[in-house]
Amino acid sequence: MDASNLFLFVGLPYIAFAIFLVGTIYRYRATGFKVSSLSSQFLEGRALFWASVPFHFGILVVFLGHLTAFLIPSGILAWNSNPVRLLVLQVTAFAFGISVLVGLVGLIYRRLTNPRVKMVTNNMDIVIELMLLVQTGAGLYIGYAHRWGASWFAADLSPYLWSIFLFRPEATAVAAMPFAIKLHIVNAFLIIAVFPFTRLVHILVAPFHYISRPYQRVIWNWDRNLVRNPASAWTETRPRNN
Amino acid sequence: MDIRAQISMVFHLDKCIGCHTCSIACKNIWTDRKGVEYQWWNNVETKPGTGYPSKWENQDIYKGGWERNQDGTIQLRGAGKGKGLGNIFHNPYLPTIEDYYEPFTYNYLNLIEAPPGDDQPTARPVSMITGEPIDVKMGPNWDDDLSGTPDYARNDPNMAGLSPAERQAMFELERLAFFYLPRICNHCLNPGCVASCPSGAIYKRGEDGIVLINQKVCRAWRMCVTACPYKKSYYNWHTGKSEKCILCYPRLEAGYAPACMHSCVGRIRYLGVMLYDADQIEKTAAVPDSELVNAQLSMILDPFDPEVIQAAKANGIADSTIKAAQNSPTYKFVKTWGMALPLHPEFRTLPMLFYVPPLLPVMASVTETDGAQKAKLNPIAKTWTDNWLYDTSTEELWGTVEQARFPLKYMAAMFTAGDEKAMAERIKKLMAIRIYRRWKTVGDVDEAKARKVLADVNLTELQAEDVYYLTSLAKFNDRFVIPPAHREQAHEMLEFVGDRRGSTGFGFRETPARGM
Amino acid sequence: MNKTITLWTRLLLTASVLLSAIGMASPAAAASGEETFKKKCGACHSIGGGKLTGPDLKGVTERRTEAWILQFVKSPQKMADSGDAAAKALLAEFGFPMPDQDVTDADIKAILAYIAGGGGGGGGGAAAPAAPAAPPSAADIELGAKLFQGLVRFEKSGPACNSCHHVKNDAVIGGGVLARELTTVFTRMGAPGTSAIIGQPPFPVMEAAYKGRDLSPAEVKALVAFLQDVAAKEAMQTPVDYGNNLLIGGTGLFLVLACLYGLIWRRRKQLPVNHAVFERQVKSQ
Repeated sequence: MDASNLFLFVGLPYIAFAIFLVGTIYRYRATGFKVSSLSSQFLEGRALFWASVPFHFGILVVFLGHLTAFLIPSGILAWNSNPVRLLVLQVTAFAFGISVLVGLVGLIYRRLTNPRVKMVTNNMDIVIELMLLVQTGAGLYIGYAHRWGASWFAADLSPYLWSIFLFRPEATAVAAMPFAIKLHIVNAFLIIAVFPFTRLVHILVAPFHYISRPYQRVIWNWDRNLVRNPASAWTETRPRNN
Repeated sequence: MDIRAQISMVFHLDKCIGCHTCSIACKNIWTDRKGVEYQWWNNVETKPGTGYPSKWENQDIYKGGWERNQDGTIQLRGAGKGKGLGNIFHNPYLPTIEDYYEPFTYNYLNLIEAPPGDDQPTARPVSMITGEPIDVKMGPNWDDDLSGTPDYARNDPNMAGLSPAERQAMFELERLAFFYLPRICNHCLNPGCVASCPSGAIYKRGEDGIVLINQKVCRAWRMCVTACPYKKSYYNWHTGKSEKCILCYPRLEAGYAPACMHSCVGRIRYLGVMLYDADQIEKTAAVPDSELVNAQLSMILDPFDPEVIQAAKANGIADSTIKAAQNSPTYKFVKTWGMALPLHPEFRTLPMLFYVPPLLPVMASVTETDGAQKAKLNPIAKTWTDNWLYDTSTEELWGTVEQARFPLKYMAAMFTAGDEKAMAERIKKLMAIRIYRRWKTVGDVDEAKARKVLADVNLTELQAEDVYYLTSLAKFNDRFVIPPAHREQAHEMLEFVGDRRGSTGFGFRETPARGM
Repeated sequence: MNKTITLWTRLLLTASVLLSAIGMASPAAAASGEETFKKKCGACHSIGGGKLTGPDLKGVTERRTEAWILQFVKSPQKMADSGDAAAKALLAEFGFPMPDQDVTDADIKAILAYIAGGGGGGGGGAAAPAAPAAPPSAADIELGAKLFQGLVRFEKSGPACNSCHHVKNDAVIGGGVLARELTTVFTRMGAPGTSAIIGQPPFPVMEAAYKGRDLSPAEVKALVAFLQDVAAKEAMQTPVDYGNNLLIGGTGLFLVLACLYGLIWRRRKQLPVNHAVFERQVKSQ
């Protein structure tokens, strides 16, 4: 394996994850106020529907697909052992991939053409959208030109990713893969690296805790049961808000 | 019994002159920043009218508030755990900027800096979002004083239950009437915004019940905008955070009335503490429509009741707060006198801003008189030479309530979830006090009649005097009874009272830019 | 300011720790020549055992210079492309390039030393079954077809062949196109070469996929039988073109999805409530 492959498939992932980790913590602590989904639906909602909805549901399914193949490759291989099931999986994944592409193109178009949305666009928005476009394009091309990715991802890329996470990097197989796949992998690491500095941080604050929370929320500035107790007129507990 | 204290408000609509001073006071303090130019935490609407944002009362469009299920439970109409998370990528009921208005300013500089030319230089309107010239299509009070009636007043959602004839009657030129409806956040007991926030950024302060949005936790999921049926949670498009009326809590904590109330020219606003039983919130919010008003009023507890006082003390409510509750002008209007009503109780958020309904447009009527009618009239009735009559009194004491220029049905749709009897009761009280005072000061009403009308509405003479005092003569300290904030108890309040112009009003200051 | 410095220090520390971890994890020192030869070369090359898939390597050190070998082994295709006559001749003779090998110079030198020392003599490390003289049995072909497309899983649950490989055959679903098309592989390589590669794949991608999941001799035999059958029947097969069907199928399903989005949120608020009023207003531009 030559130096460039070593860098792209062994060095880059670690650099990317390191930046992701440190960058996210830094971003959250230093500029927590700016961690938001930064929705622009308020300024333009009609076109957004046909962009945001296909994009988000598409990427959710596609991401979960990648995650499943990464976590339980044997399960995916077992599923794929029946050609019909393999076909169903591939076509479904491809359809959601198109969903991502259509949504993403819609988002970029809307961002570049709507004068109001332009006002709330910053450079990183464009950068990350273009990176995602490359990623989606490469992904769809792989699905089309290097078919049965569901199987070979589980057979080759899942072990590669595990080797990265277990600090025993083994990238020979990846280095020998076609260009589109390499591009997809490298771009994925680049996206992870710039992640903390883009609007994508809203993924990390996805409101799953809402499901288990009681609907109403009341916050007391001080412990009301101690207030009337002369022995403890002062509370050292900092309030949780602000 | 879980007794809590709630800062509540009463707006006396009879006194509102629609000057928008309150809106300007609020705007100057809190919403003159980028991204919130369009937000009017306090706004004044003309009724009938579609308001701001347009048609906010129509929950078929905006899906705000709670709805009651068959089994007697309630759920958020357009948000909540399932709907909120399912719609998180695109909120299908979110009002957009056009539903409020695109904020604008004028290119004033052009007036003095335009080069010599054939035309008079003009100051074109410029969008405060894009900076480009725009055609102004809408403003925060676009339908003020019934302007654009065919488009706005005639589409008032409260007229849904009125027959075509009744609607027509409301807009006959001679009978035409309107009143003003100033609105701020209701700081509800069962707030839809709090319940809908996926991030848990919105909360109710335990001590005084003020509903706030923690700006550092808000992630722009936009559900509060939908869930608030009063559309009093607004999205700041610049910072990507929602903001809402904070009831000027930094002022309240320092003992000042909120800016809108302080500046009110008509002195229509009252603010005070009420004690209520938090255990009953869920049950109260779920009663059938017809019982809503009474159920909400019955949640509010008598601050003079020794049992209530004891329970309040046990729950950590300070003596000073209990004292403020006893002196509360809002308690008097809402409970003691039973004159004030919540706005749209059918949204089931249990709003704590109450309105004394307007009497004048309801009572006064203009009728064409014939001689026979005129002969029967009280001499105080004012007549015009062309035989048109602007009448504020008739033989039949309560007759005008039924024939009011504003159908009772319309008023009931706004304040009592359709209960016309409850609505008439409030209006009769207002009329009774007016007749009583007429006897006292002008003397052309006879005493027996004055006393009878008071008895009819279950008010004593002393109460009538109190109502008169608080309505007409009340001083600053009578209108605003603000309990001490007990800052010594709370670190938060000790640390963050220094809100300044330009800050978001939530105790911290950070450049509100989007993203990195 | 202080805070920033500490953060960057921490970042650097983390990075250096990670990098040193990578360093330690790099492939260990060169294994012995024999071991590497069996693992990497034995599938295709013999030492004095005659021509298999690739040339017999006996005496290779005398035929070529060491420098040439070092360069060739790492990237044979590149050598042929660059116009090296010997590499071109090899490519012409065997019909396909030798895959790039991920070995170090030290590894190659060790292998060469092993070869020079006479080597093991015979073919690869795989238990290459004797070339079947007769056509393979029908049972083997059927099992091979099932193994190829995964209907019967490999004993150690390795991925099915058609994940990456395509064969032109109506009996199986079209295979992947990530790797070489295998319809005529049997014709080119014969039974020993085919089974050697299947038994001990020399290609990095395939090696990684079957790491710790190597095939049993019976499975190898069945697959070879299947491939032999495929090669024999090649002319009579008309398989479906999956590429475009995938594209059409995916797009079709997406359209269904789009309709679903529209249907689920059909009651969404699409226009400003005063849209009609705005539209009526005269525009100044």
